[in-house]
Amino acid sequence: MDAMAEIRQTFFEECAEQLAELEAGLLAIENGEADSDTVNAVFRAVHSIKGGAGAFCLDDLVHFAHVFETTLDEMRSGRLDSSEKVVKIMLRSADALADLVTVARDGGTADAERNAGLIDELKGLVALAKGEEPPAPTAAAGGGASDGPVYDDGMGDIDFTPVAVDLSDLMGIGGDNKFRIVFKPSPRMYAKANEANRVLRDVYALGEAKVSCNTSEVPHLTAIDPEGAYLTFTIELSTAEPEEKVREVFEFVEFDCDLSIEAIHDAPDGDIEADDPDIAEILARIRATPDDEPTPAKTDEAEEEAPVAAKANQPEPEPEQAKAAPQPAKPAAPSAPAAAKADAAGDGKGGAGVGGAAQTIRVDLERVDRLIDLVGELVIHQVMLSQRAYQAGLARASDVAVGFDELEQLTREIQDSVMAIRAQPVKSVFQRLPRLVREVADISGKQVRLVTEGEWTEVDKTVIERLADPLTHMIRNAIDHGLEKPEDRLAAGKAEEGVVRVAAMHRSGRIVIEISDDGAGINRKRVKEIAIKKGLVPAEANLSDEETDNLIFLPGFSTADKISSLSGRGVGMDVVKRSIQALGGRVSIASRPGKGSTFTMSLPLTLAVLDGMIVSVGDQTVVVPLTAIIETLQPKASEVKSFGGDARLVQVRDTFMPLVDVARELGYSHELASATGGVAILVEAENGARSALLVDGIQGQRQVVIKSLEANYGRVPGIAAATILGDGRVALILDVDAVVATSRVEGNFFNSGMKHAAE
Amino acid sequence: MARKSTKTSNAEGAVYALPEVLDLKAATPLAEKLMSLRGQNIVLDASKVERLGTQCVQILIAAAATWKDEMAAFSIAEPSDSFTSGLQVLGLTPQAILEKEVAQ
Repeated sequence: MDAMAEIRQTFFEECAEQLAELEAGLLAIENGEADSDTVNAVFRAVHSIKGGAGAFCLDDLVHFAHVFETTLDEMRSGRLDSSEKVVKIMLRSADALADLVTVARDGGTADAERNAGLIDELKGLVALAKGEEPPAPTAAAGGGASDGPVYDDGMGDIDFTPVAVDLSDLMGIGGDNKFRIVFKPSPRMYAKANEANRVLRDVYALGEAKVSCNTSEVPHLTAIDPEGAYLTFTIELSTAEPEEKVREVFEFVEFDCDLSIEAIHDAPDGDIEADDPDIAEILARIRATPDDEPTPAKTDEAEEEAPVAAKANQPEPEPEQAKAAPQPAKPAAPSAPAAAKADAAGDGKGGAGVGGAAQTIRVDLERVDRLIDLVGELVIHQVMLSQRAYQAGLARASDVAVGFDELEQLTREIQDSVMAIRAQPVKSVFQRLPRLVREVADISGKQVRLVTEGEWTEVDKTVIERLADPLTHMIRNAIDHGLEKPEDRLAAGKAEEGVVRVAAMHRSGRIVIEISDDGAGINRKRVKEIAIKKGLVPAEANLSDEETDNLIFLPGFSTADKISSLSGRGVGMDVVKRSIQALGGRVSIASRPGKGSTFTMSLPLTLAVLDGMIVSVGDQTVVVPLTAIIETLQPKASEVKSFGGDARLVQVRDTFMPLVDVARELGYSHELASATGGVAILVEAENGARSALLVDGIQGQRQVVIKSLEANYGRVPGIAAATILGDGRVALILDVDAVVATSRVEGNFFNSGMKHAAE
Repeated sequence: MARKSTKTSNAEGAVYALPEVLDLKAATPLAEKLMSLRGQNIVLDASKVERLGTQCVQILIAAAATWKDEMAAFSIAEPSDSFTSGLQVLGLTPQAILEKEVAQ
């Protein structure tokens, strides 16, 4: 990959992060959880995208981002209320921005009409915000960074006739808006023939300005670089113009200087007064190092070079200024990712955020996967090694055995740490949902509020990746089929706005995701009719409520009367169910007529390791996931009761629970195992139902590395996966829920309702 | 120009007439010229200056500090209006330049 493509890729990765930040921020604003930092973060996100896009000449993106940014700026400065309407427009703009980024990356065309509409709406908001302002022509909104230069190349201009001017001639009229501008040109700015005094003159033209110049950085004559930049200007500007008008002045030098523009409200506050020059000085000092380098560009050739070219060639890392984002992140510079991170994390009030943010690196997923594979092998070999040692007659109390224990602990720690690298909060999936909900709600004409919970629940990356599709599908379903139309809701005495709740949680060593709506619930009568019509169930079938609900998971089932753009194409819940099963997960429904439905999917936390109890079943070794086990016991003859056919119950203290003969379920034997000769393992299924698994004996407890059975062999009902034991043999890992459920509903003609039947 | 009197030796010293145009391109020659004049009292004649660029101002500040450091007199004579207003735009005065403290 050549350097430019690499930079481009970094830019798009950055964009994805910024967009996520943007959306999260806007949602926080929508929910009223926002503070000024949130608004700043949102602003920065858009600004950074704009800055980066400018470097790659992505004009559409720049233009849109610019308008968006202008509007956000109004919000940031408090002139625009974050009312519901405003936030809605902003959210849609964020979606549009995301689309534009995608288009810029992958090609294709954006919805120009929608974007134009949004631009108008955004501009409308700006105008609205300016309503009370003194005359403020807002050419700014439309302009964009791609407009022609505001001023020419400075001192080389022959038309420039210096006149003895009283500065008051230069000054515009003062106004209510007060800004403190700290402006520190970099040598690059001069190299492009931009003159600081020209910029300053433009500032004077805006209103009453008081400039003070910090000369403390100017070195000794012997050390000076004649074309260097050593001066920092602090301008106190009082103007009738709005902030973006002020920013416009700096638009063409903003890439080549340190700039902070800050609105001062009321009388200058003592704290800020003291703070700012200090920070400016610190920043200036940080900056002084790279800038001392002589600039390669010659003054005369630097006619009016776009900031773009210089950006892309700029090799030296630039400490990012975490100020209120006058400066966009610089995706072109190698240091950009870290800098942008810092930028995003900076508190926006002026703390130099460079050092404070958490350090992250980007690693190829492939490398991590390889590491995980290797660690898996390490664990297997460590187990093998210690087993061999004991087989060779090593005393359990010997030093070597102690060493093995330590080694085991160490391997385990390594494994945990490696797994932690891949664990990610489900937030990354949840983040995409608001947009989905908005779009589906728009199309279906329903009002929907999305509530997410537990978005920090961590789960393995592979699980997350494969979670997105089924989740998307289920949410679409919840809105399209679950929620009623607003008028129907009102008629039913519910709020007009439907609620879709998505919650993630850890439960018994798995991640459980619940998607619930407060809609009408499943229309069981209709579901059954359709299923019978489509020949999915016999007409005379007598189905329980759960069984009826589970019909929607059958292939080819669709309740939609008409095919909409959302659903009704017959690819439905069966696909969802299959993809979840492929992950080693399960999905179930609970529906209450008139109250809504809840879809629950449960997935393994990781697809790599498992704590298991090693048990003997017949002459096989089977692993029971430890997370499902509550206790083990040896049933006495008096505690085992049989009823109907060969079903058995075991009494544990004062409750009875079904006794599941594992060997029989898995087909290892056809005889009923003697209940008193084996061990009963009490397990709890995900729905909370308890059963006892009857096995022949317990061998031990161990961490096993999961090897996918599906990938290497095929899916086996009742078996979740396989593993390799210390002696090299393959052992199967029991899918407890499936085994328990199968034992209940044998003879049923479809097995989707099995879980509920166990209750 | 208060500085003139600070050095009691006062007297002659070189007079260097600043060029009319002190723009970006003039920065390097100006720095070289001033370097060559080091070690003696100097009076900069700013009467002809018509255009004053920021980088040249930087050099003048550096020079003032250097002269001060070397205990030699440094002064600016007869600043033209352009010179003064050029400084003023940057938030400076001829006085401010002369009073520049020694930079490390």
